Amino acid sequence: MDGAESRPEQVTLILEGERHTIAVPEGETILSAALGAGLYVESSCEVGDCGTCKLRRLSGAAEQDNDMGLTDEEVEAGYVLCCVGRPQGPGLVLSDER
Amino acid sequence: MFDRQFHLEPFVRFEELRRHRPVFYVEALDAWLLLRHDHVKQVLQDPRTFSSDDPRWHTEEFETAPTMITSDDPTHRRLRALAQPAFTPRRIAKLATAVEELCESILDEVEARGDRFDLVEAFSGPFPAIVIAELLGVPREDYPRFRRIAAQAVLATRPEPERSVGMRAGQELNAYYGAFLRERRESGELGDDLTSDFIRAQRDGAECSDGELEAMGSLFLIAGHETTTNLINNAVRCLDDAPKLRAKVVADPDCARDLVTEVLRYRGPVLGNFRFTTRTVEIGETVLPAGSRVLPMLMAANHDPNEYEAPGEFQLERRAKGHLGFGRGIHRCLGEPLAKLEAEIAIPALYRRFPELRVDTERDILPVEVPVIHGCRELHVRV
Ligand code: HEM
Ligand code: FES
Repeated sequence: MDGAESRPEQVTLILEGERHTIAVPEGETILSAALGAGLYVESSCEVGDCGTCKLRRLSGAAEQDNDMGLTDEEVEAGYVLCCVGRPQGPGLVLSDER
Repeated sequence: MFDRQFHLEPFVRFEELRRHRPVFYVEALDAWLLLRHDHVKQVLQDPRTFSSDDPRWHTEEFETAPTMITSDDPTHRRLRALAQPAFTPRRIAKLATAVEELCESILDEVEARGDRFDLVEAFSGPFPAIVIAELLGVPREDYPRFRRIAAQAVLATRPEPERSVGMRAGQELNAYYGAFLRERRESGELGDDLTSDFIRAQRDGAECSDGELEAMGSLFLIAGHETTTNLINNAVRCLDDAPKLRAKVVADPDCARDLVTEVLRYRGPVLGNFRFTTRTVEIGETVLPAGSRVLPMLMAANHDPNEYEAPGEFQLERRAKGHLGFGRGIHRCLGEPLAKLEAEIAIPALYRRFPELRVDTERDILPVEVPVIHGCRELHVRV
């Protein structure tokens, strides 16, 4: 990941209608950063296979090593698997509204 | 408490209990029933405190290898990782055409039965059983046999003497799948099924014993159809009270997803599953010592008025968030994508084929009478 910023990226999560901003350090997933910040994002397999932790991307960009937990339509609709997902640059906003 | 009337309409009984005694000890099960959404969530989200490895499953007479559903991490994680890749939403979506064809071919046979039949025997039983048989690679003609054994195996969740009957059936199912697994391994004929995946994984050095694979196949034979069979049965019961919805399901198959979500909330086929406390813990105002058994009731949580408005109403458009029909946390249902695919295909197909289908009021509905399942042994219908 050449040129990746080393400082934590700010990510906004909208969970049950509330906005939270968390810092996701380099090398951490959105899920682990959210749990570390005391937020609850539902998860199960934590390897990107089951789809439980998916959130919809409203803006910004994310990358994920594995997206088997999403169907093609869900990828198209911009879902991100938090357990394997990381922000790509600033401005990532994810929501639990399906 | 767990009489036939309870099993037909569990949420009616839960309603009053939740108000007066939301944490409620049931002697026959030696377990605390939990009826509030927040309490059930507390348990499912904390697998360290609430273990799935109940000492009840380890008796000298019935000792078997652990399965993912009866173990904690790291064993749970190791076993689940073996099967998880086969159950991703992406891979399951590829089965849609084959599952649709199977469904239509069973409905062709159902049509030949005339205008009254038992839906469980004719359709909701065989359909998911054949799907899971094909997925595992076991011969599809064997399904009546493993359906019979699986129906007995769930008795293990009842008090004695049924518990022993259930445990014995569980061993019989392990032996059935174990024989199949050995035959496959010896013949070396591997294909595109889960059993072949297991054998390949083991050869490639995955850490799992023969006993664990046997128990895993046997778990799939049970978990993979009893539940989906009852999701279909329960959907038919929900729709029976709602003529407008029946018409909508026929006219608009796209509403199947919302329908299945609401059936899972309103009449989900899994009532709950046991956990065992590893330390003293408070649930609401009740303090439970280490070594207590709890039974978080998913269905009761799904009808909690603190969580859902008018929970006793079946609302197609509700799209309930956070319903617990597939559980929550690390043990959340592995088969969720498959179960949804099957139900979203089967329910509209059934009503397209038989738009006038109604529950036969001249015959009693026979419920499955075990504390972890809400469903039907017999559901007679008229078409
Ligand atoms: C409507 C159908 C289904 C429902 C409502 C359902 C529900 C559930 C629930 C509530 C659990 C959690 C149990 C617990 O927390 O102790 C579970 C676990 C499980 N289910 Fe399903 N299930 C369904 C279909 C299936 C199918 C088709 C399969 C296919 C193989 C399956 C395989 C499993 C397995 C292997 C587990 C254990 C997962 C683990 O412990 O990590 N289920 N299911
Ligand atoms: S928790 Fe399974 S995909 Fe993220």
